[in-house]
Amino acid sequence: MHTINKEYKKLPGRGFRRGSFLSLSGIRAALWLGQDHLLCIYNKGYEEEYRRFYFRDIQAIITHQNNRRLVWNIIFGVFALSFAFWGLPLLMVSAIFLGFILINWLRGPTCSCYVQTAVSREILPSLNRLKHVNHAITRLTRVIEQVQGHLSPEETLHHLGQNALKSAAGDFQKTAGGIQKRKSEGETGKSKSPNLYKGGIHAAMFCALIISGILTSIDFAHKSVPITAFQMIWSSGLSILLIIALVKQQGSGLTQWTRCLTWTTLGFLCAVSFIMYIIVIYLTFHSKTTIYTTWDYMRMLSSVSPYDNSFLMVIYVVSISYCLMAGIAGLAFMSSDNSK
Amino acid sequence: MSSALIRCSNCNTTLPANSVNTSDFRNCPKCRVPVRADVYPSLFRQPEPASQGEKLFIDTETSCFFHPTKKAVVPCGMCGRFLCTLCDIEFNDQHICSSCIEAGKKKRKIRNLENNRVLYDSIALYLAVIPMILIWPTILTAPASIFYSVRHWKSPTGIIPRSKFRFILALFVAGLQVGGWSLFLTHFLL
Repeated sequence: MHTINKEYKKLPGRGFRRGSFLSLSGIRAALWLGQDHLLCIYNKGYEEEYRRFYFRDIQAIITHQNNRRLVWNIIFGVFALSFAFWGLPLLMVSAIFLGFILINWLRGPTCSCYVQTAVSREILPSLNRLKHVNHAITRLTRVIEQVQGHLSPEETLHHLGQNALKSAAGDFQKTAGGIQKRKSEGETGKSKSPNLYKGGIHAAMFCALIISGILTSIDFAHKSVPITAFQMIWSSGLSILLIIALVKQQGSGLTQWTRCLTWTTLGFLCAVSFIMYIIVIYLTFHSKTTIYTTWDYMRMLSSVSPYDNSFLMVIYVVSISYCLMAGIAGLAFMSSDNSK
Repeated sequence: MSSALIRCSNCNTTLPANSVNTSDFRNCPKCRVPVRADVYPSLFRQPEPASQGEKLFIDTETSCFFHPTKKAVVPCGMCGRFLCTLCDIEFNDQHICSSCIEAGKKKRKIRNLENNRVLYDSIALYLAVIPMILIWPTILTAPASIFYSVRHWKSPTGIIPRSKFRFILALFVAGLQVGGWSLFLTHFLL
């Protein structure tokens, strides 16, 4: 047993394998250092999957910092705030979310780490914090250099410089070939259109966001059932536009700022929807009249004034400010993109 | 990954050579995200040309088991068949033929080829604990958990050695459930 235990040594870090769009697969990942390979274990609970990276095959380990810590802290913060406003009983729940923020903050900055071989580049989900990455890379570099040898900075510069020149020449040939191919395909009518998305959906979405801000302002000033109903329908349309924009921006030439703003808008809409859900549940339980239809719901919602409740006042002000600012900023980014 | 260039893991832009192997984060020239790239000599290694196998010139020479026209260079470390350079696979410091690799993978004789393993101890524990939420299913799942624990007590679990703690806990919890059901049935039904 003692000899088996020595076969693999645990590397720091734990994480989850990311699934599809905005989802966590729930598959835990851990890294172990073997005699001649790096073992990535994906634990599904009832089964383990193994992925081996042999030291002789590892070409590079590439890490980039991301803002996942900030995103999670914002999510936890929204939850903590939304519970804190409902008085003492829910203050404990709020404290739990504040605890999550503290733990997340103490665990350090987040990052994504990839291992590159001759045929693949794969993410190492367990190396998602900078301190773990630094520690793991130090240990990995030691064992990889035992197998592959040491690479001096001069050699690295020399090789990468040469390859960059070769790649540039290759790219030029490819581009020339591509233009020729497109010309010939155009003549035969078989041309495949590349992702030429210019951001039309994004522009529509940002316009819809500004209109949503104006509608919320009207709702804030003058409460009535038709305005509340129209605002809800408009929000649904905005959500659909937002999802289409998120799909369209994949692989497009939009700038990082526009992409970030789109994702932030999604986060904002999710947070507002969650808070509104809590408010509706609260109002339903405290309503004096019985609610049967959607119209009753509308009437109940329109009867609540932000002037009566400071929490609602904050929600309204934040919503109006965000919708107008993000909408105008988004349109400004789009126009600067187009002018470039 | 065909060309030996290091690309940003966020935007796939080629990173400048002076931002590689610096042991710290440098901003990507395109997406401005801090990136750290550690490269190793295999990135610049040229792939060796694939071996074609040497042809037999004299009939008395030993030939490959799989290619009778090719010259044998090494016996398989597992089955002893003669192999040419085309069939020889160097694996775990041994020369093995492809059929032994296949058989080893199927029969789980070669640990380094195992891609997955069933965690019998975790399944036994889930079988004992999760049905407790609904209470009634435990009348069936508790004996099943005990049977499963005993049946797979010696079965290999994860590739990283695990203690028998989960099996013991599953047996303990399932045992308590069986005891509870026995008491309930004897007290209320008999």
